[in-house]
Amino acid sequence: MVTVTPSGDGLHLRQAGIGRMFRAVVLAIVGAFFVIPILASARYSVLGVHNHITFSAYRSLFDDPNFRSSLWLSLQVAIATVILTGLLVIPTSIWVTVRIPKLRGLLDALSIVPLGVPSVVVVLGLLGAYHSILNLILTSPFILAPIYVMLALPYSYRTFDTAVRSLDINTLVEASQSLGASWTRTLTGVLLPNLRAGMVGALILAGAYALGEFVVASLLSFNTFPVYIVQIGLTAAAEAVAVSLVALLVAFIPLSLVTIFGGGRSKSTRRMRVAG
Amino acid sequence: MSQGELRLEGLEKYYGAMHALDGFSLHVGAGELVVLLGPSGCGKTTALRSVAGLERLDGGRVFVDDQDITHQPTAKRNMGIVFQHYSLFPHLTAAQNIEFGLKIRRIAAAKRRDRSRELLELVGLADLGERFAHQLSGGQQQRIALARALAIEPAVLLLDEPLSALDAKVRVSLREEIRRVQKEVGIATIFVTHDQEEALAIADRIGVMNQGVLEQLGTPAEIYAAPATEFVAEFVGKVNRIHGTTTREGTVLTRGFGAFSIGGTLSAGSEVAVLVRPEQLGIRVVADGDCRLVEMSFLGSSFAAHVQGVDGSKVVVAVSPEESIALSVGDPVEIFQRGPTLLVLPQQDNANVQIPEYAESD
Repeated sequence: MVTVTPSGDGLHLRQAGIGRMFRAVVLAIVGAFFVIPILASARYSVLGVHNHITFSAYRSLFDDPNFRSSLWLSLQVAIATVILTGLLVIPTSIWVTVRIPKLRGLLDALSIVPLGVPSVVVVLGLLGAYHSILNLILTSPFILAPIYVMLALPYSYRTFDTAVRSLDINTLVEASQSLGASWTRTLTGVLLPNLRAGMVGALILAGAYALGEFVVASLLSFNTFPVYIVQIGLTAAAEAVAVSLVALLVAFIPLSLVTIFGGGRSKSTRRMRVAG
Repeated sequence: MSQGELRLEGLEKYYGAMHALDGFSLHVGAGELVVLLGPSGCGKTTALRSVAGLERLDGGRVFVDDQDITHQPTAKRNMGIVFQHYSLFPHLTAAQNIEFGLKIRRIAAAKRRDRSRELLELVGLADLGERFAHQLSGGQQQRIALARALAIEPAVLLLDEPLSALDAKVRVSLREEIRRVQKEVGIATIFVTHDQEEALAIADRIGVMNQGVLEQLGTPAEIYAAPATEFVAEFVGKVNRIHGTTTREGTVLTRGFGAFSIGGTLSAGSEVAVLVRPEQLGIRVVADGDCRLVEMSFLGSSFAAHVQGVDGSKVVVAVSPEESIALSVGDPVEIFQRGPTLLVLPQQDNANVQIPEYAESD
């Protein structure tokens, strides 16, 4: 034993060293994959004639009223999409799991349908089905929100459903009810706190989808942010890159906030470990 | 507080064509622990869940202290339940889990804390109140679940195979722990299990269930020593089934193992099967024995001697370590009775092969 232990430790150390190096290399490759295009874009967006650094692209961007209005419109639509997704996906997934598990397969299948149907077909279908009765509604850009809810279902529903599956929901619901909790209390006091990570993930995906969607908005002639980016790109290359970088920043800030906020639980567990 | 009695009258439950509860009735006295025992699908869990209101009944009534609660929703029934699956709320600490039901009942924070401390002590985990479920072992989680169920001072305690997810050693110690707590609190309890050893160890009374009906209800001793039906005899404990024919002298001449004396009045010449436990049989080596010792398996405190009769059928005889010294595999032996047989079952004709063999179940 005594002779084996040090050599075993040495082997362990060497393995740990190799493992650490491997991790660093993988991280560097993945990081480069993301960072290089961003840096290249940033460089391109500030490069004027004769390689002078100039922020004229950004200046003209912020002076353009269409920039602000399209960004604001996209944010509003994204928020509406997030709210609708929350109201639709979360109760549906929980209810089906607890009360009608037979329908799970159907719901799973339905949730991936949007992946198989091109956006163009969705829009034409919607127009054909609703044009006569919803003529007025179709003129409001908020009609995009329910469409985005549907198109983002493969991502939002799947993400939330994975969280639901990882929890023994039926037992938790029964335990909660046996202790006297109503349905609302069970949902708010037991299920949602334990499904927070899945919920946040699903809503982020729905919001991100709404922020980035181009085809439907363009076909329905709404001037959302992605539509604006494409239009700018046709006329002014540097501005188009600049606007993409701004969009990236716009997406990055709320995502970081949500990640910090959503990490609350793991922090409390960590505190526990230290205390215990 | 409201430690009452529980009365179930003629419960009926169908799952499609399956008759899960077929006129199931049971009375659990105040402070009594009744174990519902049976194979999977016998209706024991359905019975427990319908007491809790987690299954909607197709017929029958549930009373607690003569109050009809058949149509009350689960949340209003005030039943403490411990589930087979781990059911602690993962986002709450053990103490917060215990306080959950009290919080719903709007009990003041100070009082809640006192009560949860009291219950943590009762289940022997006073130091672990601040742990989360994932920081507790399976056995500890079930103890906290028991404390949580008892915190609301339930009318009845319902335990749905609470030990089946645990490993063997923890299972034995925790079942004794549950029994101690149950006695200390003095609450009417239904404990559902498929483990007959568990049932025999902790029950005041055992209800053996089969296909939605109660086959027999009795003390563990009664169930083991005097099973009312073939099913009970074969489900609880180990049993040999030996075929033979009744004789005029009130014995059964078995095909493989000689004559067995039976109490009772079966007419001579009928085909029967005798049910007898391994410890009700003895074995001795005889030079001209017709039977042969074919295998000895060591069970720890005793041996199981497998003996083959002249007709090729086999019985198992319990042999003490001292007796085993005189025996070796291949010996010609004969078997004898140490006590009365369990049951003698008439066999109409050869169509009786449909009777399932449970002899090896445990």
